[in-house]
This record gives sequence, C-alpha cells and structure tokens, in this order.
Amino acid sequence: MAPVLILAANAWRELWRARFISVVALFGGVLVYMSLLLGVLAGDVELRVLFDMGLAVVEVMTCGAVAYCAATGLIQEMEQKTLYLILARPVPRAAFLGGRYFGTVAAAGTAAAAMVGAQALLLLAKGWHPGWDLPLAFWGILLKLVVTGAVATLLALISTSVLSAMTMTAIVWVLGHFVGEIRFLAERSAGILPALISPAAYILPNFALLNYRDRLDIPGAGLGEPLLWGFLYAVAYAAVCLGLTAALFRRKEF
Amino acid sequence: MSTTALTLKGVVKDYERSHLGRVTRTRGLDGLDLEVRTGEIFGLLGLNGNGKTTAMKTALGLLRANAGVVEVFGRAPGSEESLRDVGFLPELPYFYPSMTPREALAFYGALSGLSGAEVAERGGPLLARVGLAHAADRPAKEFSKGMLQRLGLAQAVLHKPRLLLLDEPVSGLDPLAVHDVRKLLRELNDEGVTMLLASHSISDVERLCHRVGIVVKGKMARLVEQKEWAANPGHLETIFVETVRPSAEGR
Repeated sequence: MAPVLILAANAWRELWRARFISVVALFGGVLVYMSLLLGVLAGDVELRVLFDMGLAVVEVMTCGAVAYCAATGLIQEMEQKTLYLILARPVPRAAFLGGRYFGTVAAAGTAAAAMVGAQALLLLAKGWHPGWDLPLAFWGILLKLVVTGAVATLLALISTSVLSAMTMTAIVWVLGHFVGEIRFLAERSAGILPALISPAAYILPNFALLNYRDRLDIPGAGLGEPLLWGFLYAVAYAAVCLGLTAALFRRKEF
Repeated sequence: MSTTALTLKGVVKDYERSHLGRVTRTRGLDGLDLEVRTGEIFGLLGLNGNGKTTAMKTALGLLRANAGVVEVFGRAPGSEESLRDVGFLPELPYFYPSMTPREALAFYGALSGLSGAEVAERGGPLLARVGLAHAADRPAKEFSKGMLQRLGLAQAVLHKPRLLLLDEPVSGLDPLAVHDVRKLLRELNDEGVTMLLASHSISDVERLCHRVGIVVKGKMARLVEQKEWAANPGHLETIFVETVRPSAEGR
C-alpha cells in the first residue's frame, strides 16, 4: 500500500479514537435537544428550522473539528516527535503531509456523514419528505472540509502555535463566506481601498460557491455546472494550499 | 559491497534561530569525521549538546549538513534508498497514544514496505524478543518508559535494517531491561546488523562496542579501539574523562 494511504488510514483511526466520536455524540445530543425545543417553539415551520439549524451545526462542528485537527495534528507530530519514526523510513515528506491531510478530512467527512444521517432519521420521524437538498448540502460540506483542512494545514506550518493557526483558519473560514460581499465592497470603494481589498477576494476561498442548497431556492437555477465548478474549485484550492505546504515542509528540519 | 555503512566527512551543521529578524547561529557539528564499518557496533560518547544526536539526525536526513559529506552505504542521507537500510531508535520514542504494539508494528512495517504477511510473521516473535508479548494489545499511553523503549527497538529492527542508529537505547531503563536490551543488540549484531550507538553509559558502550568515538563540541576528539579498554576494565572511562575534561571546564 502507498505510504500516503497508510498514513491517511492511521490519521483517520487516531482521530476517531481521540476526538471525533465525542464530536458526533455531542452533535447527537444537540440535535435531540433542538428537536424537542423546536417542536414547541417553531410551530408549523419546525421541519424547515430543524433542517437548516441541523446543517449549520454539522458544518460549523465538522469544519471547526477539521481545522483543529489539521492545525494541532501537524504541530503535535513535530513537538511530540512522532514524526521521527515516520520520516526515518522511506516515506516522502509530501506523502506524510498528504496522509495526515487525507486522513483528517476523511475522519471529519465520516463524522459529517454520521451527523447528517442522524439528522435525516430525525427529520423522517418528524414527517420530512426526502429530496435532493440534504445530499447537496452534505456534498457542499464535504468540499468545505477539503478546503478548510488544506488551509489549516498550511497555516499550521507557517504559524508559531496551534492557537494562531486556529485563529487564522477561523478568520479565513468566516471571510470565505463573504467573498461576494468583499468584491462588491472593493468595486464600490474609492481611493486606495479597492487595491487593498481586491486581493483578499481572490486569495480567500470562496465558500459561497459550495453552498449548493441555496441554489435550489432560486427558480430555474441549474445545478450541473455549479456542482462541477464547485468541485474543481475546491480541489484546486486545496491542491495549491497543500503544494505550498509541501514545499515549505520539504525545507524543514527536525 | 561497501565496507563502510556510514560516513561523515568534515560535516558542519549550524542551527539557526531567527527572532524579530535577528538570526543567531549555534554550531552543532564542527567538521565531524566519523566512519562506521559494516558489521561493527560503533559507540558515540560525548557530553550533552556535543553533537551525538545531531550526527544521527544528519545521517537520517532529518537535518541537513551545511558542509561536508554524509553517506549511508554510499547513498545520500534521507533518500528513500538509504532509509530502507536504516532503523532508528530515538532517545525518547514517541508513539501515537492509542496505538498498541501490534498496530505500531503493522503501521511502521507497512511504511517500511513490508507486506501484511511479513509483518505478521516477524511481529509476534519480535514482540516476544523485546519482552512485550504480554502487552501486544495495550495502548502505548499505558506504557512505562522502559516499555516504550522496548517498542521503539522493535519498530527499529522490524524491517531488518543493515544499519541501526540507536540514541541512548538504555536511558532510563531498569537493570533487567538494560540487560535484555543489551542482549538483544548483541544478538542483532551477531546476525550482521551494523550499529551506531550514542550513549552516556560508558559501561554499556564498553560491553557492546567494537570502537568508540568521543565527540567534543561537534568534532571527533578521539577514536578508541576495543583492545584499548578490553584488557583494562574502566580504562574507557579514564580516556573519556581525559578527552572531554578540558572542554567541560570551559563550559
């Protein structure tokens, strides 16, 4: 088996053992609590609120988890020297990075699948009629995990601590949902502001491209093209981040 | 076949630290010359911070030399070809906390290119050999330092390397564990494994090694052959003290 797959499988297993089961359990608790609460408060829009809130919780929790695990994982490997036993073997450094990254994203993706599955069961129990909206939203979350994990991996390598890596990832994640607004702001600004703002709009990941479910609410909006472009965009963005990380990691000494 | 397993010729390694744009340099190796011959156990003695671990990391490609030549069986350090022939036991081998010895051997064995069948065939007997058969399915987070060291040794030899780099292999172990590790290293050497052993324990080096290099401030200050101490127990300690004393007084 290729080293990158061995390392990915190991990262996946370590993360599930260490953190992700508790994340899933926590989400299960939140979901049940929400359903009970909203059953009383939301009245006839209970399903809609439960659907949107549930997906928002899945996205925030899994993106937070992937950012945390990508940021801490790499720094811990270096600080605790577990990587000595790996890099002292015929394992290319890029494979080490790639393995950690794919394992982390796969673990977060598995957690997201478990959470969305639990949410679907709860919705079905409440009388929901399944459509394309939930699978599309799940696919969008997976692509966001791909991008967020890559950003966190890059920032973990160039920052000095887990806290700074996490903080920067969180800022990128939040701003990445407002890329359209940032571009609009740049177009409408005068003086030096556009020159300052515009680069951010192109450097930041555009998470709005991955909010597929929103397009279902737009009458006549097709899905095929956005699905393809969103996928290509997420993969390309992650590849650039990982390529930069690999170039920096190659030069690193331990 | 090369008669030299590891060569370091005039190796210089500077550590650079940068803070607020100001770069400070510390010399880790200062023209170190070292040659480990195939089949021998070469001991590396030296005070803390004198370059023993730096020399090993340079041989593994974890650190890059600023100057000089480093070769492992005639190949570049850190290359996949050279790393296939090397096993490494760091001073404090860290394992993933939830990983059991059985899983650890499967993981590191696979990374070394062993098949599942090869790991299964070698893993069990190896765990028995390092005295961990009873704990094969316990997570590493429950292990004592001695058990981690035994597991570290098992992962280092699993892929049958031709050269073992051992950084303080008996540091912090109880006397029984020291005895067992020493016995295992001797057996492995009898099987043809070459070793570079860095240690603070002069008695272990005396018992195990064929030649010893004393490193002072990143330089090879003295090479000692086994015959120099074999007939005269305790003599290696005297040589060591005489060699390092001047630099230690200047610290």
